[in-house]
Amino acid sequence: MKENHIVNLLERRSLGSLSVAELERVKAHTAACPECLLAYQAAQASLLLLQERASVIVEPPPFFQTKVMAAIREQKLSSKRLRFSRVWQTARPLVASMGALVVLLLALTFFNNSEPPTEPSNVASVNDSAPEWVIVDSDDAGDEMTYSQALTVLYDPTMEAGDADGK
Amino acid sequence: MTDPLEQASDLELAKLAQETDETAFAEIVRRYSPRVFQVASRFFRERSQVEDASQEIFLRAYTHLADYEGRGSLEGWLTRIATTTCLNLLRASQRRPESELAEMPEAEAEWLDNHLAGISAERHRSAEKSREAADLADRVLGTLSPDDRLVLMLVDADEMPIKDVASATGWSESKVKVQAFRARRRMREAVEKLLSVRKRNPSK
Repeated sequence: MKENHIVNLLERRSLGSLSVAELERVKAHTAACPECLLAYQAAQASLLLLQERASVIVEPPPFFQTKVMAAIREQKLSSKRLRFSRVWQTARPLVASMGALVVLLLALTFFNNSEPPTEPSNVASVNDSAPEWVIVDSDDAGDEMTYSQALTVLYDPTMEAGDADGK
Repeated sequence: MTDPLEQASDLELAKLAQETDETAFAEIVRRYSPRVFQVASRFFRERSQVEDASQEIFLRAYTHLADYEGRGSLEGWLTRIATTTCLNLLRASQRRPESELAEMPEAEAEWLDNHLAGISAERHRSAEKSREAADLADRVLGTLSPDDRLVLMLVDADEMPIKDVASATGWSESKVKVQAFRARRRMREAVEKLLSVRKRNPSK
């Protein structure tokens, strides 16, 4: 009967952990069941293979400790570099804008200094000593005479004062 | 004169190492390298792979040193890191396709034939035969998942108690039992296939 097959027992527990009574039961069953015999042989071979594999142990080489410590120092260095690059990534726009601002301020300072110095306004009015002569008729501000016209009016005997007024 | 660190307890060493004392951590590496190599040897066969995995384990231990609160043993804590690191490394590496099992070298086939012939383990336990058996074990285990491989090596090969396996892997005890049950079946089926082939064609 299928229920009596020992396959389930072989899967539930390691072959090495089976009791003597359980092993006897397995052997008795496999003597009459070729299907379970193959399963039992495979389980035995599996356990042997695993035990042989477990016996393979690589020993640490003599300078392993030094190698690990060097790797740790290297890891520390690279993590510092990584941290700096992360900070730089974050601060880059700020630093760039600050740099641009400094450049702008320097440029403004430079261009301001290179222009010729302008004199104060009161000095300029003193130099402006020859303004165009204008005689303003106090009665009519729109009626202006130039200097030569005024001389003509004053010294031309042919002209009378009334003509000069245009009357 | 002996180094005072050699006399220090695990907890003292861990505390010193947590305070970024490199020499204390170097002492931890010296003390537990054999144990870490033993765990890594369960997962990897090549010396270079075992060494790389062990270095990775100590690097992870150094990075997570602040997590060790001294409740359990330092060895247990390191074993857990070693187990999970190796499991992750194994998961990351490519699994061998199952078809490779069919192409068995002559020496490994002979080992199976001897087993089928009922030659006792003691009789064919020479160094050479052991290596062939270990090679065959690697080939069979290579067809299983890393979790299956881990549980078979710890529970069946090392005969570790379920509770300790649960502690080393971070799995629950019931998960370890179920995983072991399924892994045994898968390994047995893989070996059964090989045995069937050898029974049908013993000369090949």
